[in-house]
Amino acid sequence: MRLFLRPKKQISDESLIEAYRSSGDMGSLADLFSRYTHLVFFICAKYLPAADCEDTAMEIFELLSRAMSIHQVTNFKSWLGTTTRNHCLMKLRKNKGITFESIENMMENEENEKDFMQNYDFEHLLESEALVQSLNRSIERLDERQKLCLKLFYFENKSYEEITTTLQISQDQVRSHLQNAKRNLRILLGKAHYAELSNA
Amino acid sequence: MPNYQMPNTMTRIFYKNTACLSESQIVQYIQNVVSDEERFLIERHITECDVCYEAVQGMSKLGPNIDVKVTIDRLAHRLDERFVKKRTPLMRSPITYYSIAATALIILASTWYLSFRNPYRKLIADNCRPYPNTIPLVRDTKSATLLESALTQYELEDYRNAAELFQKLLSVEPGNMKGHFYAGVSYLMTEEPDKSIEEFKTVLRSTSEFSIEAKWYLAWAYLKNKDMDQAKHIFQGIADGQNAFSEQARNIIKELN
Repeated sequence: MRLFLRPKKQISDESLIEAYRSSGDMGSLADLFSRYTHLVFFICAKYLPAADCEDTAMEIFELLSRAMSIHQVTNFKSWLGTTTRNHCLMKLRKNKGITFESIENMMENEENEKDFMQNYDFEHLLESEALVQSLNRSIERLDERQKLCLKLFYFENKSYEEITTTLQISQDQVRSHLQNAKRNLRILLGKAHYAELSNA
Repeated sequence: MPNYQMPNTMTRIFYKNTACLSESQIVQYIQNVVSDEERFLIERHITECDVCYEAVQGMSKLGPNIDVKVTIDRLAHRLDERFVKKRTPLMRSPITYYSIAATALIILASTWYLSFRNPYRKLIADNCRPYPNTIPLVRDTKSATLLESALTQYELEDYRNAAELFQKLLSVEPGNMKGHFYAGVSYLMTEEPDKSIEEFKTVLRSTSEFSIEAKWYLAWAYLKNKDMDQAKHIFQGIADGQNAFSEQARNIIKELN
């Protein structure tokens, strides 16, 4: 039976982590890791030679299982990404092994990196004509590059590749502009909606 | 001011976070074999998700020499082997602990029972009978001697009381070989072969009328003590002689062999 190829999507990561931490249920840990096996492997491929990726991924899952039995993990996906990236970088620097202290630091960093605006819920405002007008105004207030990327990607349905060609920038820059544009839009829309509610 | 309004503008930008990309989504995206809508959904996700974005970058670096599906399947199997098949749970629920404790107790008890259980139990039960009382008894409790009182208990098959009374007798009459002999048989019946052996040895060191009987029961006492060699040696001695127990002793040796 290959549990790692049959992920149970209906249970949240947090529930699986809790099951593992409270009862040592390795099946829960296996289910959790199965969701991210390919992602860890691919991230390893970003940093390391292809031949090293499989073994490195195994090392990372070992580290995670040990760390999870000790530490409370609140945002597993984010922590997984950071741990994978750091482990790959450490291998590149020929630093063998990873200490629990460094894992703890990573976890603290993850907590600090949480975007407090991520959870702002605009869905209940989707039908609001006022909000659509606010959106138009807010987009116009964005930095030129951010506005261009936003328009090309969300409104003209251009791919990352097409945007890089059009604007002569890298994919990382496209992504960065899109992220910044969204973040700024949230802030602007949040302020606009607050003003709208205040005037009502 | 331009109007960016589209039917689903807001949901296209401010969508709720979706599940991470699957292996096939990443592979097909890099191979550019996805529809425009799929491509948009994938790129919208990687705009927000660092993990998937890095995974896509990693996949794009993998050359054609790597069979991604085979490699990831193999990795999944290795994880399966490591975390599922060879699991070593750190903690379990209390019920599981109780179950483990109960099982361990049963195993220990069984081991104890099997290790202490005498393999000659049936042979002993079938052949080792208490020696009958050959001494006439005065049934009057007031005038009965200590020996008679002990033998009365012996006849009543209350061997524990009998053994106590024989010990009282022997404390005042240590040379009473009848007392030693019947005390030995009583201990044999109460499953105290060590004490029994001592009593019979005392009888055998004397010139008691119970010598051959003491030998016979001494052999059984050794057998109850699982001292097969000693028991067999004594049975052989009885079998080689001509006495009331010789025939039985020969049969016992056959059984023991």
